[in-house]
Amino acid sequence: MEAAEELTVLGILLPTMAVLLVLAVGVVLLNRKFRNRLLLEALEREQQKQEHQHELLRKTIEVQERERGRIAQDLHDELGATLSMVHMSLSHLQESNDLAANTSDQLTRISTMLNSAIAASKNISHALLPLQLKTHGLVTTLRSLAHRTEMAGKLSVALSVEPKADRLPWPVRVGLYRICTELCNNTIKHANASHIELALSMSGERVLLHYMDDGIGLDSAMTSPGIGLASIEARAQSLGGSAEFQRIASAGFCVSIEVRNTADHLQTQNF
Amino acid sequence: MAAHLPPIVVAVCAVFWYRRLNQAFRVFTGYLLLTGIVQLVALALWVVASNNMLLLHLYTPLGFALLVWFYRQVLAEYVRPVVGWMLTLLFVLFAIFNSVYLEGISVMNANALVVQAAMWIGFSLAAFYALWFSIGSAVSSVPYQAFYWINSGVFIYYTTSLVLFWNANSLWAYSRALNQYSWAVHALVSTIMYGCFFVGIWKQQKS
Repeated sequence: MEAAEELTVLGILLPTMAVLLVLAVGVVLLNRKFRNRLLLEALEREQQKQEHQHELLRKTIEVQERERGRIAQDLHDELGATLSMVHMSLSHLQESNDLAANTSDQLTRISTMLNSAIAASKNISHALLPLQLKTHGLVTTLRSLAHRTEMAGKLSVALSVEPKADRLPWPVRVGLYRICTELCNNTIKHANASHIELALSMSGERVLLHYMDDGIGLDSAMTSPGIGLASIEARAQSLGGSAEFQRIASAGFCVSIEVRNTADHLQTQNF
Repeated sequence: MAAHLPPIVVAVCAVFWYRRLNQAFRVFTGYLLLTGIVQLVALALWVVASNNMLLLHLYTPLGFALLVWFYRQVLAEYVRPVVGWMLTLLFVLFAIFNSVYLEGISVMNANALVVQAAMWIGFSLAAFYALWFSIGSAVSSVPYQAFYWINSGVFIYYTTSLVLFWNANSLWAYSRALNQYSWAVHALVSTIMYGCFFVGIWKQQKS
């Protein structure tokens, strides 16, 4: 009788413990599986959010460039042309022999101011969107940028650009030009450099831009990029690429930018 | 005899890695150290054929308090401190009452062990649930991987051992063989738990 009782208890207790063990392990594994699924879903949502943000950024830059192009064109065609016509009329008036001496002086002063206005209009138009980029291509425009940088910053610029760069899609050409302009302006304003190296090369679907100056470099205490560097990163990202900055103070500034040269992810219309 | 090894080994490893652990896991190291010391003393008393049940009566509330403290530290974002304090106080008072008035210190404190097991099953399930909310959160500081292993070990051990603790003081009366088999299963499950603890501590010190 006792033996039977013992067997009964034995028959219940140990299997119960075994079943509970299996159940507990099952709960743990199911929980892990469920959590992994939740994690994957969260990662997918985050990825979609990032893709959406990149698309938004690309569209914003696209719209910005389109507006700049329109304003540059209007400045050149409308305002610039009008100012030039006013200047021509003034020149005709100055050539007249009936003018009093002080009137002639005033006309000369007005003519000088008008020349300044025409020059300013050209500069603004060029800064918004250099027409040279459309008419002569990226290589020539970068050479022009290098020359202007040398004059403005009293430094030397070593430029190396592959001729194939002129065949890049329009958004890529504009983006690269803007990046180079921002980099050169930064060097002139902040770096106190005497030499710049700028190299643009192409390898397959990748376009590599390497920029270096021998100035004071980035502040190593800076934990996030300034506005200028942030805009360079944003442009590179909008072109499906990335920008890598070298953050070492007092050893010059160096950045490597890689973008895609295919137009698959970009609209190819001219701005 | 071999069942005494896992807690001692894990305690030694935790002490070795102590400096690399964060605050919560240092509390857990304290819990493991307490367990290791109690195991050693219990083994010594067993060797000299002395009743070591008193140790269990002391260890149960202390171990519970340390483990709850660890859980509160890890899940601070999800649990109010007062909840941890209240549960610890209630259980410690019950364990003391049980040891003094209900079961005595010369037998196993089965009542306290059963209540503790039921509480830890609930806590560990609640912890699994709370960890779901840490997914995708940029501000969560829960060291998920390490804590997951520890919580899993706690859940598996107490779920399996609950039935055993319920019958602990009456098993001996049935037969020595039954008693031995049951505690052998307990040793297996305990080893699984300490294995999970080891993995948890190892992952935490690695991160």
